[in-house]
Parts: sequence; C-alpha cells; structure tokens
Amino acid sequence: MVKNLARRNLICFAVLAAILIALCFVDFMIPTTNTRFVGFVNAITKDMDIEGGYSGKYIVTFGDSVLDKKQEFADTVDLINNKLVAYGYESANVGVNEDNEMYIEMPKIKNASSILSSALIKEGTLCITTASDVSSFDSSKDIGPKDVITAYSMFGQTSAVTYSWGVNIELTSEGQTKLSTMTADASGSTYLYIYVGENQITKIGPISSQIDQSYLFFHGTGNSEDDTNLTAFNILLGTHDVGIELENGKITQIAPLIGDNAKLLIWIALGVIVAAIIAIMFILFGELGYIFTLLLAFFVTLIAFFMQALPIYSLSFSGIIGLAIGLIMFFISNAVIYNTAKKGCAEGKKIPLAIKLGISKSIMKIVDVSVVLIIGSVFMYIFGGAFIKSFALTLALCSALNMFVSILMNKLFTKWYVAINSKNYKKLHFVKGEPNDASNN
Amino acid sequence: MQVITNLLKKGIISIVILAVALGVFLIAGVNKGYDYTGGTTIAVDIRSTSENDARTKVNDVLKTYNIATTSFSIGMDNTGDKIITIKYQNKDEAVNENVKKDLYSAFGYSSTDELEKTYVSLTQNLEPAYTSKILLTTMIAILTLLVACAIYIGFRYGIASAVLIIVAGIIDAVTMLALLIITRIPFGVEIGYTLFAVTALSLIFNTFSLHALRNNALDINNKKLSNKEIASLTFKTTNKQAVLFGLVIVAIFVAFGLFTVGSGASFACFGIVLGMIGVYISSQFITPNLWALTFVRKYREEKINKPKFDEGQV
Repeated sequence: MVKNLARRNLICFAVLAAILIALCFVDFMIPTTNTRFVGFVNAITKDMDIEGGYSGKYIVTFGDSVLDKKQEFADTVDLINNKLVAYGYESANVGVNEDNEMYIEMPKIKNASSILSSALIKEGTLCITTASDVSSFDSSKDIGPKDVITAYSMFGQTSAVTYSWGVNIELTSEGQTKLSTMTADASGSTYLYIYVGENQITKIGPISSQIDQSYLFFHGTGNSEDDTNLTAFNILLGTHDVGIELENGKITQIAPLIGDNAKLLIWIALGVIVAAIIAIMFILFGELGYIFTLLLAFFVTLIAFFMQALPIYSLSFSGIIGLAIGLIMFFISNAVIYNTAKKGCAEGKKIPLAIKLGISKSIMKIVDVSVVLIIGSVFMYIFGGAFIKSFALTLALCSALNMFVSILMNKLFTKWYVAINSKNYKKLHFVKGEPNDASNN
Repeated sequence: MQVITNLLKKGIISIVILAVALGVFLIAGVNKGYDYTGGTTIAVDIRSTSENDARTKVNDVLKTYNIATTSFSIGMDNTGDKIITIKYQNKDEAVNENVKKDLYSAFGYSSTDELEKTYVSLTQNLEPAYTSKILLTTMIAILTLLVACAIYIGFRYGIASAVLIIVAGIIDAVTMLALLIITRIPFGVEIGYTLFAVTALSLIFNTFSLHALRNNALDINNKKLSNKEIASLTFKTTNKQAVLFGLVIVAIFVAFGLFTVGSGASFACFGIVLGMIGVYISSQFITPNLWALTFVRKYREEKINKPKFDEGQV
C-alpha cells in the first residue's frame, strides 16, 4: 500500500516536471484571449552577445559656445553611457575616437533601434519657449540648456483621476524664474514649446495660469516608461551644445557577439552538460539517478521561470557561465548527499536511514555554499560592473533554488523512493557494510 | 615547522606558475585583446555579393596587410542591405586607409560616387572598452565580495577560516591571471567574468573543504590526531570527489569553449578551465595546510545518554 502510494506520488511529480519542461518551450495562443504564451525560455530577455543587436556610427560636431571641445565630447559620451545604463541597456558599448566619432552597439531590447536612429540624433540645443518659432529664442527670457538640471521619465498625475507616463524636467532657480515670467500672462491660449535645435519635441498647453515651480512635467510623447525615456534622453542631450549625426543615416543589425549560431550552440552545450551529469549520477548512484533527473527538471524549469519573471534580468554569455556553475553546484550538492548515504550504507546502515542521514549531514554544507554564493552574487551585482550583472543574478538564483530543490525536494522524493526500494543496495550501486554497534541507531 | 615544509611542498606548483607568469610578463607582457587596446572597425555593405564571396574578398584584403580580425560578423542595416562588420587591433591610419581603398575595389565600388562611397565605413582609433582601470575595479569588487563571504564563514567556522577563504580566493584569481599570461590568452571584457566565475568556484570548493576539515577535526574519533593528520585524512576522503567535480567542470567549460570557438566567449571558457586548476590546488593543498596551522579544536562535552525505561518495565 505504502509502496503504491509512493510510486503514485513520484509518477505525479514526474508528470508535473514534464508539464513544466513543456511550458519552457511551447508557444500557443491562450484560448479566449488575445495573449500569446511563448514559453519561459523564449520569454527570457537576451543580451547582445546571444541575441545580436544594433550598431550605428555617429559624428559629433560642436556649437559655437563650446570652448573645450575635448571636454564637451567626453561629457556627452559620459551622459550617453550613463543614461543607456540607467534606461536598462547595460551591455551597450560606446566606442569613441579622437576624431569625435562614436560607434555605438546596443542589445536588441526595448527601444534600442529608436534610440540609435532618432533619440540620439540632434542638432542644436534645448529651448523651452512660449513662441511657436524657435528662431526667436531669447536666452535672457526663454529656458535654455543651462537652466535645466535633469530630465527623466515619471509616472505622474495628468488629471484628477488619471495618471500616465511623462517627462519631468527639473529646472535651476534661474530656469524657474524664467518659467514663471514666461507664463505670467498665461490666458488659456498660451503654449509652451520644447525644442531641441529646430526639432519640436512637444507642445504643452493651453496654459491658463502662471507656473511657479522648479519642474515642468508633460506627457503625451509615449505610453510607457521606455517611450518617455526616449524623449527625456533627447532633452538631456539638448543640454549639450553638440550636434550628433548618424553616418549615412544607417543603423546596422549585428550578429550575436559569440557567433551566428550562438543560441543553437549554447543549447547543444547545455544539453551535453545536462546529459553528462545525469549519466554520471546514474553511473555513481544507480536508481538515485532517476530522483536526480526529476530534481534537475524542477531546478531547470524553476530557473527558466524566474529568469523570465525578473524584470531586471537579461541573459548574456556571462549568465550562461553563471548557469553552468549553478548546474555544477546542483550536481555537487546532490552528489555529496548521495555519497554520504553511500558511506552510511558501507558502515552498515540500512538504505532509508543512510539516505536520511546523507541529507541531514549535508544540509549545512549545501546551505553554507549557497549562502556564500548568494552573498558573493549580491556584491558582484553591486560592484562588478554592467557586464557581470547577468552572471551575478543567475548565480544568486541558482544558489537559492539549489537549497530548495537539493534539500527539501530531495528529502521528499527520496522518502518516497525508499518506500519502493529499501533493501536492494545494488540498485543504488551501494555496498552493504557490516553494522557496528552505533549503526542503525 | 613540518607543516610549513609540507605547505611549501604542496604549494610549489602555484609558486612555479606565478614565477613563470612573472617571467613571461616581464619579457612579453600581457596579450591584450581588442577590448583592451581598442582599434578599428570597418563596415562593408555587401549589396548583391553573396555572403561567402564577400567573406573571401574581405579576408583577402586583410591578408594583404597581415591583419588578423578580432571579430567578423554579418548583419543587416535598416534598408535591408547585408553588412559585414570587421574589428581588428591595427591602429596604423595609412594601413587602414589602404584597406578601405582595397575594399572599394574588391567590391567594385567607387569611392568618389556619392552613394557608393557610403558602402564602406571606417572608424579608426576606437578607444578600448576594457582598461586596466576596469580590471582593477573588478579585482576590488572580488576582494569586497570575498570579505563579505568571509564574514559569513567567520560566523560559521571561525575567524581563521574566514581569512583562509579570502586568501584562497585571491590565490585562485592570481593563479588564473598567471595561467592566462603564460598561455597568451588575450585579455578582454571576458576576463572580468572569468575572474568572477573562478572566484565563485573557489568559494564552492574551499567552503566544502573547510566543512570537511572541521567535521573531521571535531569528530571525537579523531581526537588524538594532529591538525596536519586531520588535513591529510580529509585529503584522502575528499580528494577523489574533488577530482571528479573538477573534471566535470573542466569538461563542461571545454565543451562550451569548443562550441563558441573563435569568439571572446571561448577565451572566457578556457580561462575558467585554467582557473579550475588553481581552485583544485588551493582547495586540496593550500587551504587544508593553512587550516592546519590556524585551527584550534574545541570539543563539545559528550552527552550522556541515560537509558530510557518504560513505566512499569522494572
């Protein structure tokens, strides 16, 4: 009876694991909805070295007001670098040379192509004025580049009951005074125009009363944070008196940095790893290899689920290395448990007790390694730079799940397994030793 | 004294690796990759030329000037034309201009035609994406994370073990860098995550090692053994496992390296394989011997198990 119950439980979990594995890859329309389910693995955001990206070459020119061109170029590149990281394009690569040229590569995520083909390109500086003609810009009255501290996306209130994404421009005290003066006579037919060079970014209004505040919030340039980031980025670039021109007006799609068939090759490599460690477990521990395979299925599917669910996660090649190390750690953890059980049997303990002791004796080993790696990953994520974030997140995820699957799920599955096989040592490739006095207590 | 001699004997491989690497470094320096030196990027619009022909034409031109490419990829621009992008380390402007001219003639484009002159784009003297400053930041980050992990280890295994984790982590990172210098694997962005990966492996192996050492030391059956004897007992019981795990890791990263050969990723994989050698040496030889020098054993008092009697049994 107990045997049948244990067998039924293991079969149920095996079916569940099969369903979870299928959910990692299947792609279908969810019935009665307009939503498409693409599978956990397909939904993972992939970085430039795996998915490829876009590149563009830009020529930077300087306005008349720029005295130190080298410094202005460096400042502009810094601004671009920092903002691309802040907008979530952490693996973007900005190459520069002494001829004031920029070569930018960006991953195929979010609005990368729009950034390269439009948001980056500009001529002239920022101007916020009530005049509809930018040529009448008067730096003593209108808001110019020096009057702006920063610009960023914000989810703000747009009416008594509605909120939407917009851009918030923070002004200096001088900028605030100018805004207040500009809108002093606002009568309901006044508009504020925001220009970068001759390009009108937006028209705010009609304004019916004086604006006396140190910020200016507007919406309507996009429906999401990513869209409004493009506008904020263009405004920020407008605070620098430089022109940025896309050479030949062309952006290029680039192949994955690790090769054209990167994804296929990585899948093959991961498949080989999984097959190899399963084979080793079967060779070393016989039927416990089935339990390990079941645990591995849960481990891998849970990782795939969390990778696509975490909004900050982007899988790069460093993440693949993190995943490989995570799989190794999972393999080592389980091998340590089963090896301790094997030793227990060699000392004369019976299979159920040996496996139970194997888990309990290995718990602190696994917890120590996992906790150490989680701590290490957190510090890697904070201090390691953009290129290591994917590695750190994957490793932290694997470490946390390793504790859950290797200890808790293992305990459950082996408990059911020993109900099926509690006497046949050969099936586990264990050797039964002579019991001493302390054994089996 | 004997332990120190033993330590020197066991640590001799690391010392030799470091000495050879220092020699190679002083004579030939570090083999710097594209990310480390910067260089030139050329994009060629291949128009109606087939990919294979275009590849051959580009390679022929580069061969004329003895230029080895670091990266060669085929993509597409926003008008649907196929673009070959080549990156290489050469910074000689005259050579680059000649390469550009030869590419025009190889593809039959005119460098004076308004449209066709845009088909070959040259970006020279690109500054390096990865610098010594970033490498230094990476090392500082590794040191910081080792210290953070050591705090946890300190709580679990004592201060001496915490220091050992830091020392082993540093030794492993330095050994990996030394092996990279010896094997002439180019330094680039990948070196960063190779260092972090090796540090992670170092933490896994050394934590397991410390756990096994402490368990054996606190085992009442080993009460009469010295720390050195405990270290060699632990080596006997864990070395087989460590070798197995090490070989699995090496096999995995060799497989990855072979699957991505020719790209920076393969250098990262081979770097990890080299790093694994250092991790094995540190976790099996250096950490146990240093542990033997520092560990102070405190045994818990044995619990006296009183026999239990059921009521009414007597």
